[in-house]
Amino acid sequence: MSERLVLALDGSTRVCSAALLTSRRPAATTVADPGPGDADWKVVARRSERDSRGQARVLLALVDEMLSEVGGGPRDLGAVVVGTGPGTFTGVRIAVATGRALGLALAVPVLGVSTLAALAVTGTSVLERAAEGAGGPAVIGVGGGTVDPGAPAPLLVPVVDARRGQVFFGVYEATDEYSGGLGEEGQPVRRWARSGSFGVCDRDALGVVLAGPALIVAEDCGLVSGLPAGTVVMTADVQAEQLVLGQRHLDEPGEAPAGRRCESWLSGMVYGAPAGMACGAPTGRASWGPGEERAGAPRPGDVGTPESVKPIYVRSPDADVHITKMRDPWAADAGRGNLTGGR
Amino acid sequence: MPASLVIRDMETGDLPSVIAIENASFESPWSLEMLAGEVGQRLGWSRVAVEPGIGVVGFIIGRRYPDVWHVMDLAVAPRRRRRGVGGSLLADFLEAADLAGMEVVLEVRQENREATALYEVWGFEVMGVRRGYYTDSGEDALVMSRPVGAGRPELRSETLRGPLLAIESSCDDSAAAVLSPAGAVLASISHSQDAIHERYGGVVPEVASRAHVERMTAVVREALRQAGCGMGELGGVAATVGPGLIGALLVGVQTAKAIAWSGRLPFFPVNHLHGHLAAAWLTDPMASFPMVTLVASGGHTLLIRVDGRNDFRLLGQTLDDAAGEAFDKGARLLGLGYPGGRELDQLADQGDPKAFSFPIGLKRSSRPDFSFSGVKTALYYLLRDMTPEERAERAADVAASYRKAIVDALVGKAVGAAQRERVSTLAVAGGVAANSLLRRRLVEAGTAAGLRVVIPDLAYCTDNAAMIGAAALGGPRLDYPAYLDVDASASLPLGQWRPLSGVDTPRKT
Repeated sequence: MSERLVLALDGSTRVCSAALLTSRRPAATTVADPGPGDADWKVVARRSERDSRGQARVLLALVDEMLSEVGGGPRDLGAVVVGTGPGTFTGVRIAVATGRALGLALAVPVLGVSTLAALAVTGTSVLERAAEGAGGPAVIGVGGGTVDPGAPAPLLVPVVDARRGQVFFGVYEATDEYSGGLGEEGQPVRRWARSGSFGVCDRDALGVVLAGPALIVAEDCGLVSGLPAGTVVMTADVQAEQLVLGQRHLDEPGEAPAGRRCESWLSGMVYGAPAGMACGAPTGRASWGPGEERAGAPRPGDVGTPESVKPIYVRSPDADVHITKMRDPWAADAGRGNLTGGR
Repeated sequence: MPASLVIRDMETGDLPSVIAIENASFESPWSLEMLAGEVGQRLGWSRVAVEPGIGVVGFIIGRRYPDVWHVMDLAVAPRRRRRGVGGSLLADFLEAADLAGMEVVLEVRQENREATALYEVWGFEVMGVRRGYYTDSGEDALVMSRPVGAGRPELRSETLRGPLLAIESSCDDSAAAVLSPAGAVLASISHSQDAIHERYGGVVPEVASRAHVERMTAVVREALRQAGCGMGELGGVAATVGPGLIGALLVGVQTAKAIAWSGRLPFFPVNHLHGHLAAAWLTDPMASFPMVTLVASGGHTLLIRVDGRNDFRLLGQTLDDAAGEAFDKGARLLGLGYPGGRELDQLADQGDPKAFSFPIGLKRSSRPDFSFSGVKTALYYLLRDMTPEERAERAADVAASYRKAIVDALVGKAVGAAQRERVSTLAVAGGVAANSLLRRRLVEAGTAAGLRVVIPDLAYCTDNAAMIGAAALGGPRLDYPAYLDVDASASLPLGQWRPLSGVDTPRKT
């Protein structure tokens, strides 16, 4: 293997997914305007397994299989991209722990990208095709039919299971910009900007949360109910390659290499960045190994270091909701519960 | 190597086992006649490795020529490989060669990279090639030679080619350690989450898991830095796979597996309880087996008979609460906060242990089991019936009496078990082993009973990764890719690292 490979992996949902990608051409001239065709990523291997055994048993085995398939080994990885949720807390942590450890052990940069952003990418091309009148998506559901191309720009809403009758979701709005890259069928694709943070709500409350017509991309159609007319639901599994591929169609808040900044950053990390590139990360392929104390070496927590990859939980641990009264166990509201409460 | 492995001269009676191992190991094996000719041969060296209860598991045949010693045949039963048997047989021969001041040579099939790598670890270097040496296949042989005293001595007891990284995350401590292949601790880092959990009054699993994932890479990085060990120099990776909090365990297991996979290193799954047992020989390498070890922590209270580094049997355990749990909950009732065991210990030092009488669970039973729910309930009713002023005034006396009841139970059962098992060494491990009264009383009572008492350093009492590494070096080893699907398990019985199939409960996420 002469190419440097990018490993993408996600364990936030019931589907464990992993992919290997390469880019044939180097990055854009500037990050602000990547220009058409800048990020020529292709998937060289992919694997997914509907989780029946637990992500810890599956994820590394998938990665190992893919590398064997392309005749490579761990040393051929140039960067790791991890889906950071939200999703099942344990699954998110397994993927994040794996990605962080690989970054540390192989001395390669690691990037966290939201699992909801990967799911949103699935929706972008569907919406573009609908707008072009190129036929409807495989739509099931609640609102019925397809998204009305004449309607005001709909919302794109990725949704994953949050357990306890709730869902995690993100809301993306169409912008007037085109993202430069082409969609699956060669059509120009609009850029979608995320509005607000990722949220969590009851399954039947999503319709209330959304202000207008929407395409909901859900890992399972049973996750949402009580939606208003004009809302379309499609189901899609999270595909790890979409943590990279198609991210250029998304505009994520902040300065981190997410959304449209993601592919250029990765190209820069793996293949070396052209002059003029700056997105808050060190230029070129720095050394990411432990114990590096050279000037200019990234410090733990800098973009690309293992510590920079943080799970997106959205929901606080239950314990935060009802912290037990600790200091005086004999106060009026502290009873036997203190004695018998198990650990 | 299995601690109980015995290496002795080959006898005629060993030949049936030896020929079986030979046949299972080579495509063109030596004949029985050839092997028999080596027994008692004047310039020969024929020795076998014997595992008690199993029999001959490997052998070595060599020649002691006047100018050079020669390894002619070395084989280990297929099922006993990768346990250091071959290394032990070789070490036995090389030590004798070193004493005699002799160079050692051997031939090895060029394609047999595993064997070649093993010999290199032991100080052999390739001197040349014998073309077509193996008549069966026409393959070439590498001629390897070892000067007197060559090889890295710290590698002699193990076949790891570099230091071991060990990770522990079963409860609320994120810990990593680096050990030399021979078991010396090069670095041991532990990041306690006490400050986080104090506000909850206990370990909240989800909170603990979040803290582990946040810190684990930094803890590993720091352990490697302190050990002066680069990622590329590691020879293996170990992690606690259970028992413990599942979400917490998974962070450590997955981190360890990913690091091992990155370097195609062997992975060592470690049972947390095995780790506690290892604290004894980590503290006192001369501690001899068999021994009885009391493991007392916030989650466990067990008495275990330990016959070797990977050979143990459960004698008894708590029927309800763990001793550490009794201390922590007692501390909570006394208003000492969390984790509280330490505070209770300090407060008890200032009180009168005879002020109150607490029941000692199963005191009259000869079973090596424990029960701490009675003493805890007694404490609850005692404090409930006091006025706030009395509670404040008598707190030290209550703490002292409560501590004494728990410690008496632990010491009585532990010393009794050691005597019944007729062992000469008694060890203690786990967080409760940090309790000052327990340490004192165990030494007093143990010594009075004629026992050698091993009290671990404080750092090896509470959860730490050094003990996990020490246990790993004597325990099961998985080579790439056998460990990719290793999972964590919340409830693992002693001696297991993989849940029994069919009883694996679905994971709650």
